[in-house]
Amino acid sequence: MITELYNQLFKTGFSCAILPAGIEILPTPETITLAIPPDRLPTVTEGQLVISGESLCTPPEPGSFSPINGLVQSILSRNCGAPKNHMLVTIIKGSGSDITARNKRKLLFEPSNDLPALSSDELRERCAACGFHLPINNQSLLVMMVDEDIDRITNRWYFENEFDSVLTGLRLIKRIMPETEINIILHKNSPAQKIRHCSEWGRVITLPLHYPDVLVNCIIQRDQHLKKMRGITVIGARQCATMVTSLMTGYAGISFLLSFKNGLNGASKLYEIPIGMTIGQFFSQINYTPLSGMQIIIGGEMTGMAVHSLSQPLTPSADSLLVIPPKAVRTPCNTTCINCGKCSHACPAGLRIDLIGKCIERKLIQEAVRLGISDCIECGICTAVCRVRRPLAHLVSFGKSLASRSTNSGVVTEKVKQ
Amino acid sequence: MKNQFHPVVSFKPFRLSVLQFHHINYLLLLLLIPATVQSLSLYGMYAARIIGTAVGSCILWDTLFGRIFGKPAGIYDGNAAVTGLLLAMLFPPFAPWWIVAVAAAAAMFLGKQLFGGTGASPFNAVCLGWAVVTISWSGIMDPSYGSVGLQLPFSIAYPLAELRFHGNTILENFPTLALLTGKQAGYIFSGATLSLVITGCIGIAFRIIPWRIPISFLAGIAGTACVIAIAGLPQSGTPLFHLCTGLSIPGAFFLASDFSSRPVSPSVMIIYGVIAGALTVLFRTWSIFPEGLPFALLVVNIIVPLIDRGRSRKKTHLPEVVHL
Repeated sequence: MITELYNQLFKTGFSCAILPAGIEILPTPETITLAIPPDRLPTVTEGQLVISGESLCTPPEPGSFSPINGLVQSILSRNCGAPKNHMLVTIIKGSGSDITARNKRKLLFEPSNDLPALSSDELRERCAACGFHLPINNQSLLVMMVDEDIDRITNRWYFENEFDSVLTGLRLIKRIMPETEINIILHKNSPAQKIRHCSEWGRVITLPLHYPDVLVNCIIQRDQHLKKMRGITVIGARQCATMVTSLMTGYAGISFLLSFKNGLNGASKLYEIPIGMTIGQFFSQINYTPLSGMQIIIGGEMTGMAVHSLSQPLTPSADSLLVIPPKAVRTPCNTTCINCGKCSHACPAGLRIDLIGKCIERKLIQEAVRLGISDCIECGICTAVCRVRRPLAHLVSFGKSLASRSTNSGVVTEKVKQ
Repeated sequence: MKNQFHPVVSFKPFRLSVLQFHHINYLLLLLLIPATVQSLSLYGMYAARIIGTAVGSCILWDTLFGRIFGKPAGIYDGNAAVTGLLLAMLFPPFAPWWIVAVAAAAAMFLGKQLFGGTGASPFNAVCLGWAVVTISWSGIMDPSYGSVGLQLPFSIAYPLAELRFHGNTILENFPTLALLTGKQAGYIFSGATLSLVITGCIGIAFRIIPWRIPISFLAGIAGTACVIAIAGLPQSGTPLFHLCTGLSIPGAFFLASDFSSRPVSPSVMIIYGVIAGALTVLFRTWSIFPEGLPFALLVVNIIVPLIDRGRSRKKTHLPEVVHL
């Protein structure tokens, strides 16, 4: 659930060709992907805010200026199908027009009273909803801040851009959990200014190694101080930076359009809300009181997803929010089929859902596969027309999972390796 | 505040059918009311006794057998009441109360609960109950002399029995319009033919009764009657005669379209109707029972699970995606 949320936060698709010579803009510009040639280094990191006109690599290259204000969704390296040795930077478009170079610096550099006015519980909850589990109080935090490349150019880049985000992350952690002891691992050859800056935040451990994260246990065993700690949370520097940026995007004004529909037959209105705003906050903003026993659905009434709590954040993948008042809530029941055949008549794939449902209830998976459950697109029309409200779509998806697990069902499920 | 808020979490989809099974059953009862009123006005207390006993005993037997088999009572969704009213259609006016009760017991037990409750029986419960009682007490259930002694504004002879015994010469006694408007005796609902046609069409308009079943059923009856008439049998009757007498109309609209025993695929419904109609006429002409419709339905119910296997409709054709 939480990882799904995190994926949803940065969900988009690559749909433009990457050329080193120019920028290709999509017809519905929600995302833009730019390519950085192999001899340049990126100046941004995942989750970082970029403003229009900002250069994405150093030294700057004509094709790699960000044309929009946005949030860096991902940076893929050379192994991911790009033209030889290019790096692909994808930016989600934001509509916050008030991000300028000045207040972006302000967001990252100023002391903690510029952070969003949330309580530490809310901050922790938001972090968890985006996939970051902050260390429990009185544990030690180990921040890995070592890069692959150690040449001078890298260190300068690292110091200027990402480091500020990391510091803000550390500031956030200090604010939420004041008793956490922070240990920072740096490379031995890091610039002295960087080491000095980090030592203001916690204990600095320098290593001559390139990849210390695989030797974390080794480090902990060797270091006398760390060995005495009760528990240690290891967090990457990039994670630290991304965490704070994902929290700050609401503050910095990256927003998206959400359509809110009150009731199954109600009118719908469009709202522009910041990314990461929770459903509860959205309701309080529009003065809507949620009643116990209602259904809150992200998506539509046929293929949406019901949420279980008001603290679920809204992300660009949630195009619409539908609320169903308690009296109009209808859930499927566990009833026997009356053989009216409405489900089969309504199925767009022409499947015999009445027979399939009965087969799956009796665990006759081979028969269900022969009837064609692989053709089911789970549109939900069968359940919507069922006269006794059987959970047919649920039965078919359950049947699909049973079929993939059993060896003699006739279904060959291929495991797709990463 | 957060602890008190409990939204309902369920699997998609979230818009479910407003029209449910009990609505359909109540609608069917409503559709049968005009015919019931007509039969009550014609046969008075005899019809009232049969209808009351049929509906009441169906409900009681359903509850009893439901308890024995551990199923929830079908009386709350109106299924037992509809079966009872349809069963009442199939009795001659002088049938004693115990025959109706035994038929209801057979219908509920053999035709419903034994196979697993509502919707599980491959056999039409009403026809099964009727068949059990007709074979056991064929004298009492015989509609040929069922109305002897009643003061009716028309001939008390059952038309099909007259056809069997006296051949085609009696056809001029039964003009089609008279048969349609209900001037025929036999079963207690025989006088309500036209109102059953009208309410049956209303049922088709409400999509409770699929239009393919009554049309193919009546086409089967008419076609087979045509064939037999052309073959020149002395007791064949005309197609229109077969269409309007006896249980043809109530059978086509209400008995053949019983949910649990009818096929699901639309093309199979047509085959089902035609075979049932053909068998009806064959049973009427050559079997020992003057009205063979419920037997024909039972026979065709046996083959429905065999033929009703294919897809319900062709896959929806999506527009072709053009790859650039």
